[in-house]
Amino acid sequence: MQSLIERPSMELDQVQHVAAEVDAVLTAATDALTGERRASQVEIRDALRNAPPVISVVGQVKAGKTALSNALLRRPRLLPSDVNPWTSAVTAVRLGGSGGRDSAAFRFLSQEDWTALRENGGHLGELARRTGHADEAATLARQVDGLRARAIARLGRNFEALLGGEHSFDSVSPELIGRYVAGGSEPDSETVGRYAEITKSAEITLGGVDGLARIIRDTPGVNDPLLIREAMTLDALKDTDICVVTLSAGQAMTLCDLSLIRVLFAIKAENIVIFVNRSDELTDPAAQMTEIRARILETFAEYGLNAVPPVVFGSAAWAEAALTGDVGGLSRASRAALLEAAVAAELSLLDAAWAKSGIAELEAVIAEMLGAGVLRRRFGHALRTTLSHLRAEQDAGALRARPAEERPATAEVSARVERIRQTRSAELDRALDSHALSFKRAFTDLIEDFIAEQTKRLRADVEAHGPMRSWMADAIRFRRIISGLYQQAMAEQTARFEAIFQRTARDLSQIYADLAGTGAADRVTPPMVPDAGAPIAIGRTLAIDMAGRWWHGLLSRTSRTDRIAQEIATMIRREGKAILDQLEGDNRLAQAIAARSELTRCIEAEGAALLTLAAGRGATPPTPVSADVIEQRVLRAFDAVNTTAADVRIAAQ
Amino acid sequence: MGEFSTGKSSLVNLLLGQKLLPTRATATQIPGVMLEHGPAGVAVATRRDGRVVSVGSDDPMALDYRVYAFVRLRNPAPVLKKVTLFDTPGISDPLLPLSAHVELADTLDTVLWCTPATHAWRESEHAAWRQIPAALRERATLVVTKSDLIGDTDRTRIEQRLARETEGLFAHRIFLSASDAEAARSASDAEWHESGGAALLSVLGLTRADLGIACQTEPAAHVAPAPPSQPAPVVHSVQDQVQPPVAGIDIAALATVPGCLGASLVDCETGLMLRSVGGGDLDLDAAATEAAGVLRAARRLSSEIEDLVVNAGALVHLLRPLLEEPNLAVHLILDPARAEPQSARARMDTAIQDRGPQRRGTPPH
Repeated sequence: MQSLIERPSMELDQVQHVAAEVDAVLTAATDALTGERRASQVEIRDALRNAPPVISVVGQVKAGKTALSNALLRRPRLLPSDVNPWTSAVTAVRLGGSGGRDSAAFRFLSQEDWTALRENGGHLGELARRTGHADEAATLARQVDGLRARAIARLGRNFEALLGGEHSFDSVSPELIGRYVAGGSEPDSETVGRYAEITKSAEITLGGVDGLARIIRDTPGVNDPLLIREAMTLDALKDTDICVVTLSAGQAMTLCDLSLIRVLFAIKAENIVIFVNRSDELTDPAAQMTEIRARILETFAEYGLNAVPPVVFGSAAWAEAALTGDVGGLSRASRAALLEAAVAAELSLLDAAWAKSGIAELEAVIAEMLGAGVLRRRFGHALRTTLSHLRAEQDAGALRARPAEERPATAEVSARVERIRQTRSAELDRALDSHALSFKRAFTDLIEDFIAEQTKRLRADVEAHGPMRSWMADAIRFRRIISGLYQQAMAEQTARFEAIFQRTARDLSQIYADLAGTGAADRVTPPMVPDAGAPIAIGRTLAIDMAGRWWHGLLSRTSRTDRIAQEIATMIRREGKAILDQLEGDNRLAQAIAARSELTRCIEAEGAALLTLAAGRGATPPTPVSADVIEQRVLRAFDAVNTTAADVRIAAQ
Repeated sequence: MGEFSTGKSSLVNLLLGQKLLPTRATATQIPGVMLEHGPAGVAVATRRDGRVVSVGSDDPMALDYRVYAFVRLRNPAPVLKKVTLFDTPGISDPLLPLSAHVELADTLDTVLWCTPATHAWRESEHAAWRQIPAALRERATLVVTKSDLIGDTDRTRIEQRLARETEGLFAHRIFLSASDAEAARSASDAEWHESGGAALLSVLGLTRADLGIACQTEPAAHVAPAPPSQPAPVVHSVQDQVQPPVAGIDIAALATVPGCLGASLVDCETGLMLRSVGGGDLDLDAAATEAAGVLRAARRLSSEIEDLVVNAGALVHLLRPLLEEPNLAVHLILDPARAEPQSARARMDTAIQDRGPQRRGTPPH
């Protein structure tokens, strides 16, 4: 049974099966391609190989995120967890895909990171200062100084030298990881947590593990008195495919959990799963789980969240017991509950522990999400490009250049391609600039409307209830309107880029027609416009939720409504500006840069083919593998990808 | 006080020696419960709209917490002879208003803030606690609950972190396992001490005898020392513990005012009646709530209301906020046929100002 436990769930294997087939097809296709197209094909395959899906474990401090990560890794106690939350590092562990060797790389905070932390005390420090809470800002600065002082005490003169650096290893062990990310609150220990204060991120690879290649990412918790961790968690969400929101069964769905989930919804609604951890600590599991589930649903309904994510109950502690074969680490009550479950299900104690740990169920949900969403899109994109490469290759083989006197000369073709490159790049720049203006204006209008609306609400509340002790701007609404504007703006920008890509394809097709005379209407397929990415900046608004005490401070400091309204306006305006800047850089500009390189890649590939044609060398050398056969395989792989979601669902039942 | 599911109700049940309050993993969906000494069965509930209603024989634990803010119960538990207990609704519940605990602050003498050992003192607790007036915070205790779920080493390390992170925010800090303490109620001093029960009683100025437990001598309980910057732990007299904001105000003396039909001491923010005398056929509690509403309305006209006289035909109401604690007011109801309003006002002043010398100097802000 032990080996069954150690394997990833059946559903993950199902997804892995499709992934392996897609990889095989993409590889086979490279053999059928030549020149630029072959190079591009290799790139596409390697990009898929190098970026496995990322599953991030998020939640409040002490919800059991690290223990859950270890269970998902099937390596109990690999990542150290501590009774006191300590580390600020984000730990990403890559595994699966059979290949690879053990390795670990730990990156340290740079001098600039420290300065930023010290000066701003993180994002919340900024907020504190803005609301006039110099004392809070000072506390945050003291926290950072404390961290730094501890690091210097531990590392001595090496401290400066280590900053901004990286340590890498070709082996992985709990002791090694412990040195970098362990709870370093044992000052006596020479090695445990030695670098904990300065470690910024850890990237670990577990080699030789079967199953779907994936990255499990453990994040520092939110709602931690050491506020700088908040920002680190939000940063970690940047390239996450699936978020496992970990709640503690003993206190499931607090206001903080809800805020986190709402921020995640604003960023990427479809890929969230809620894991209610520590169910082994419940005194009456059957009844309490029903109660907790009802409570979660009620909260979602109350806040108008229609898409309720899947909710899985489980216990990382039981998973650990099942994996280590040792139930000694469990509390008395937890052991008793386990025994009862084992007797009821007629299972051995360890099998019962695994079944009740919820890990298999969680992985089934993850597999379903990957199969139906992220991977399906990613595989689909890769296969589509492959298909167009294969067809272009076949067409190229079929193309015959017209006689030399009837076709444009090489120099002319070269000049025309260059002109297309310049015109369309300039168009892209113009589209970006004009859009920048309208986006900024729309955003600023929206912020001002929001301020007007919130100020009005404040006045109405003061009117109705008299002076108040607590009042908050509606962060939820703030998020919703920013998210709405962002989606709309990015859809517009994407449409503009698509139009430019289509014109590019049309122009290039025209040159083909002039050279070869065959039907040129859709000779070149326009490349895909890259995705604008998740609006992580919206996560900044979590700070507004968390800064309840600063809103409070604002109210107790001054009783004049006008003055309060003014301060709130200033605060929202600055917050809005920061979000705008980040959306501009991380999303809008990033999409434009990616779009430009996609455009260049397309023009260069087609340009090379056109020049070959212009030189009179019509056909490319015969290919060793028949493109037809590969094309059939690609189409079959497509079907497989499209049916995976259904398969996984059936397998899960 | 504390976030939901942090062991507040278990703590109250421990002190009562009965499983009176339901304990749940999700936020308990009942109103806050105020427990006073008396025969069981009398319950008065304050609605969220401020109205006070008698809930008579209905099960007070079945009241809809969205409609009712809190419910006052009488209970014969011995501990209630010494203290009045208030189990507040848990904060951090997305389905409840945020600041309910802040509104209560002025009516309380001290606070036991419950934080579970498994994830003690998160930022949301810190943020909520900071909203409590400093004067009350300085008399309060941080109770680390469910301490049976952690080992000794962990406990020491949590203790160290809390000492650092809650510096200046509490007078005391104790660890408590309500389930162990429940089991050790009548057990040896050592076990009682180990469970944290002894420390809990110590910060409340109580002994096991006050819980109605016949037992031996009390050992000195382990209480985490207050940070050095703090004054020595405030220990109130038992009388003070009962309802200290009202201590020294002689409501009973108002019964002898000519024409008096009833008098009460009212918390203006919550409309809750803290003490009363007389009343007869009048529902003093409901009247107190209405009076608090009138006073709040009057304060919108002027923040400095000395007193209010309401001539309401068959009744005359006199409302007089306390100078030092403007959230509290004395409400006197007179029969106009027999009363002499001017002398009644003078008698009221006497009753309010004639306070015992042990009264606290600094009222909550």
